[in-house]
This record gives sequence, structure tokens and C-alpha cells, in this order.
Amino acid sequence: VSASETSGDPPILIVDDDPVMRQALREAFEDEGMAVETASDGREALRKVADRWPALVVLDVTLPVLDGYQVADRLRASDRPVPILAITGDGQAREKAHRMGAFAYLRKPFELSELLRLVQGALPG
Amino acid sequence: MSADAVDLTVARQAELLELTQDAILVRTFPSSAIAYWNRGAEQLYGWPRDAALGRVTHDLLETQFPQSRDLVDAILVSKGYWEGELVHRRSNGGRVVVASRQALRRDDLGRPSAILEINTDVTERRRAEDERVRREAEQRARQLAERALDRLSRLQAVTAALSEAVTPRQVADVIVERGSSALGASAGAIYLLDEEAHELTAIALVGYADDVALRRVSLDDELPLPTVVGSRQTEYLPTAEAVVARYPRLADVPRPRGHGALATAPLIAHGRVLGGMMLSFGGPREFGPEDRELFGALIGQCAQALERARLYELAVRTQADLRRSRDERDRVLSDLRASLRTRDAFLASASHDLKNPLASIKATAQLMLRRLERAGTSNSDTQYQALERINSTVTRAARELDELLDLARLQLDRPLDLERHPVDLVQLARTIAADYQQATELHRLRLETLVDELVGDWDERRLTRALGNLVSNALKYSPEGGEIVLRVGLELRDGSRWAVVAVQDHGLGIPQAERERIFERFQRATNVEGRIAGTGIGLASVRHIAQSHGGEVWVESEEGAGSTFSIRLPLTRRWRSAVTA
Repeated sequence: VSASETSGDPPILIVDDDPVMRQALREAFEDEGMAVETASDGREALRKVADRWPALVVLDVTLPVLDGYQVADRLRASDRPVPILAITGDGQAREKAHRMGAFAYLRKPFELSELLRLVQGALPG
Repeated sequence: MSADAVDLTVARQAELLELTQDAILVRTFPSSAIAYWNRGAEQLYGWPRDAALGRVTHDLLETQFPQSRDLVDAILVSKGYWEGELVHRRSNGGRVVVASRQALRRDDLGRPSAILEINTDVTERRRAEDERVRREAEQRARQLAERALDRLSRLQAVTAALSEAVTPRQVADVIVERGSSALGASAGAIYLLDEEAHELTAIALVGYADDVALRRVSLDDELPLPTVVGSRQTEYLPTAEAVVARYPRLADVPRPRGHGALATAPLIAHGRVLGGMMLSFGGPREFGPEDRELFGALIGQCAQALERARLYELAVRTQADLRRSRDERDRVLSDLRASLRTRDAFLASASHDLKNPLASIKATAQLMLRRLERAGTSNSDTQYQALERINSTVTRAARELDELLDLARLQLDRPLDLERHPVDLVQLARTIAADYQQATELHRLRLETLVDELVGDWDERRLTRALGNLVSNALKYSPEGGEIVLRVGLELRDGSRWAVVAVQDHGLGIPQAERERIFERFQRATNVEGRIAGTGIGLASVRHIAQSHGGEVWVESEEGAGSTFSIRLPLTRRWRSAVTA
């Protein structure tokens, strides 16, 4: 699948308050031919979701304005399920991911290849 | 001189007294042979005249003299007359007490020749007299007994009242009031010694006018209480004059109640002087043995009771202090909890803030690596290698950061936030043994296990660090080398299943007394301190990790033979399958 062919596909939404991380992940996913949207806080994430329903959300737990839990709660409250991959910077990652209803979690710093493998495995088709 | 030679005039004179009830006899002097024996004598003594005449009086009558026969004779010779009581024996063996009047007769040459003796039976009189004396003695004894009983009951009353008294002041009031009345004193006081202030302070003053008694007395004052407290001797002064003679200062003290005698004593309990007590009397007093005994008993009771009260007050104060310190502790704990919450929040945000940039750098480096790989760049390319160095350095920095944060949690006595997932302890031990074997040629590391795998829901990163610490210690503290055995096993304990991993070395060992201490932060065994470098944080960290898992770590050791450290981990925690890593 190439990037040009999938421009109309639902994007991967990357939610992280670190611009360097957002940029690296955007480029990594785009290199794989995926559409990408980014948000730097919880409120922006929900606005992006309302604009365009994502195929998957890569969600940092610690966020300004609305945190990862609140974003996950709104996403799960809708009738369209969206897989969430949780990213945490501190301890008890598994418990946090479980609370968010995430299908998987990664602790920072993570292996980029591991993130791509998990995302690709979770996407339909 | 014989009986025949007796002056017949005397005998004739004696006949005149034949009719009297008294016993009249004449005995020769100095041989004391009986020359005359009247009817009264026959009746009194039971001996007929024929049997008595010619006998030596003292043989016949077994005379008991008040002092001695010689003394009686000497008085007769010198004064011509003697009067006194004698005890004689009757013919039937009975005893008779007589009032005897004796007169000496001299012959024409003036030489003592005979003694006229008139004896009156006073046995009955004497018996009545003895009876009276006995009755008096008995009555006196009864009075003494009653007085003793009374004293005892007063002392018991004091004891009973004392048992109600709790504080030193109450004790002092009881003693002074009851003690004064028991001894008939007009006033009394008890002072407690304050050694720091070098003075005595009144805690009970009864019966003294306000302007007479001092509330505080310096130990240097020449007054009764400081004196007896210093000498540890009770002092009895029987009169007001004696008091003033002893303590001239008291001459100026007004005596509205006519103070006289004074008894003063130190109060001593368990060899320690607590203070002193004094009793003042309205008039003179001899202070006989009874008074002294009673006063002594009072003093003893008072000292014991005061000591008891002092200990009681101490206990009450200690309790109050304890209560205060409990409140204080609760406050400190609540402050501490608040500060712990703050620190937990700080640790979480520090972890987040420090790891975010590391994660971003790593992600960026890996993005570049992927692009180089995709462009077919060789991994020997300098750009590729530089990015690899960035990647591995960031990984190491993140690991060190994790350890630093764990250490902060250890320092704050906070449990670790574990990253649990299924871990095979056998595989983990095997990897560690292989890793550390590469670092030593002196030691041989060996894994011993009866199970192929032992999977639990644990934090692999932390367990790796804990077991790594134990193996690293085993290497370090067996400088001569030797075998190091890692054992993994299953244990049933308290109805639960536990995994146990042990590391055994044949090194220096740990002294018995230090086997608990070495798990404390910054504590190292004394036999390695200054000999083998170390921070004293490794074992504390191992314990922290074990305890955060709900497990424990312990050591068995023999100095000079080696140590075995074991970690026990619970196996029962269920693995949550809803999330995969």
C-alpha cells in the first residue's frame, strides 16, 4: 500500500505533547504509507477525532488539558470502536493501559519497530 | 555460850509475853541456839518447845534473810536492834513470812549474850501485798498493751488514709494530720527536697500560723529541717529552751500556740532523701521509746508513700508525655503522608519529563536508521553507526534513569511501580549466569534447577537487577574465586506457591550479628567495610524489589565459608490476559 493510494483512508492519530516525538512518529508512519493526524493535547485530539474518525489512536497517557484517560473514555463512549495504543512515560504502564481499554502499551523510550509492528497488527485488512 | 547460861531475867521477861499471838524466842549469841520458845512460836512454826530448845534457829527454821545473816548480826551488834522481814519454814514444810523485831542483850561485862526475837506472821499481809502489786503490774501491762494497740490502730488509720492519697501533697496532708493527732502534736509540716534549687519546699503545713512557717527553706539555713536532711538523723528536742539553744534563730519566732518540744526527721526511701518532716508540740515532751517508735513508724510510712506518690506522678506525667508525643507523631505522620503524596507526584512527573525527551531522541534516531536501511546504506556506514550510538546511549540513559527513580523510591520508603508481565525465572537466572560468567575467569557460575521453567507475573527488569546485584555481590565477596551456584525452585508455604531463587558463594561470609543489618540502606558488613568497595545500596535495592513483589530476601551465611542469598516471590498473582505487551 502506498501513501498516495491511501490518502483517503482513515488516519493514524498520534497524540503526544512532545513535538519532536509527534514529528518522528508522523514521518515513520508516513514512510510506511499511512495517513497521519497529530494532536498535542487531549482537547485537540477529540477535535481531530470529530473531524475525521481515525483508524487507530497512539495515545500518550500524560497530556495537557485533557489527559489520556479522558480522551480514551470519550472514544469508547462512541458507537464506533477505535483501537488505542497507550504510551506511558512512568510506572504501572500495564494498569494504565488496562484502564484506558488499550489493546497494547509501550513504555517510553520504546523501539520504533515495536510500535510499527503493533500498529500494523491492529489495523484491519 | 550455852543455853544453860542464858540470862534467866530475859526468860522471865519473855514469859510475860506467853499469851501474845506473836512468836517470841530467845537465841544465844553468836551460836544462835534457841534458849526460849513461847507458845506463839509453837503455834506459828509447829515445833513444840522441847523440839526447839537447843536447836540453832537458822537450821530449824531455814531462815531466809533479806540480805545476809552476817549483815543482820552486824546491825544487832552495832545498833542493838534490827527490824525486817524474814522467811521461815514451818515443821510441816510450809513457808511463813514474818515481820521480825530483834534486840540484843549484853552480859554484865557488856558482851553480846543473847537475842530476843519477836516474829509476827505477815504471810497473809504479804500475800495481799503481792497480789496488789501483781494486779497493779497486770493493769499497767494491760494499759501498755492497749496503748500499743491504739498506736497500731492509729498507724493503720494512717496507712488506710495513705492508700487513698495519690499525689505527694495528699500523702503529706494525711501524714501531718494523722501523725500530729497520733502523737498529740499541735502542728506539723512536711517539706520536699529540691536538690537543684538546693532548698526544701513545704507541701503540707498544719497548725502553724502563716507568719511562722516558711514555704521554702534553703539547705544552708541553720534550721531543724535542713539540719536533719543534711545529717540524715532524727532529732528530738524536749523543750522550747532546748529548741532555741539548738537553733538560736528560732528564738525570735513568735509562738502563738506556745510551741515547746520539736521532733524533726529526714524522709528517706531506698536510701534517697526525699525531704523532711517536723512535729511541734504545745509543751515539753520527753520523747520516750514509745514516742520515738511511733514517730519513726510515721516517718517510714511517709517516706514510702511519698516515694510511691512520686513514682505515680512520674507515671502520670510520662503518660501525658506519651499522649502528647502520640499527637505529635500523628501530626508528623500526616505531614509525612502529604509530603509523600507530593513526592510521588514529583517522581511521576520527573519520570515523565525526563523520559519524554529521551523517547523523542530515540524515536528520531530509529526513524533515521530505518531510512538508511531502506536506502540500502550499510550498517558500517559512519552515519548509521553514529545513529546506533545515539540509540544505545539513550537506552542506557533511560535504564539508569529508571534505577535512579527506583533509588529515590527506596529512599522515600515507597514501593516500586512494577511493570508486571509473565517472566520465566529459570530463563532469567540462566541469562544472568551467562552474562556474569563472561566477566570472570576466577569463578564458575552454575545454574541448578529441578524445573524447566517457572513463570510468574513479575517485573522482569527489576528482577534482573535484583538477581544481578546478588550475583555481582557473590563475585565481589569471594575474591579467591570458586563456584557460584544459582538455584531456582518451587516452594509451598502457608498454602501458597512461591518461587525461590538463591545465589550461593564460597566467599567471606557475613558475621552473625549483621545478617539483618546488611539489607538496610548504606549498611555494609564489618568484615568487608574498607576492604572491598561498595555503596551499601545493592542489597537494600534487592530487598526493595523483593518486597515490592510481595516477596522477601534473606541470607544464610557462615563467616569464612560463604553466603547464600535467597529471594522468595509469590507465584499466585494472576496474569491479566486482557492486555498484551
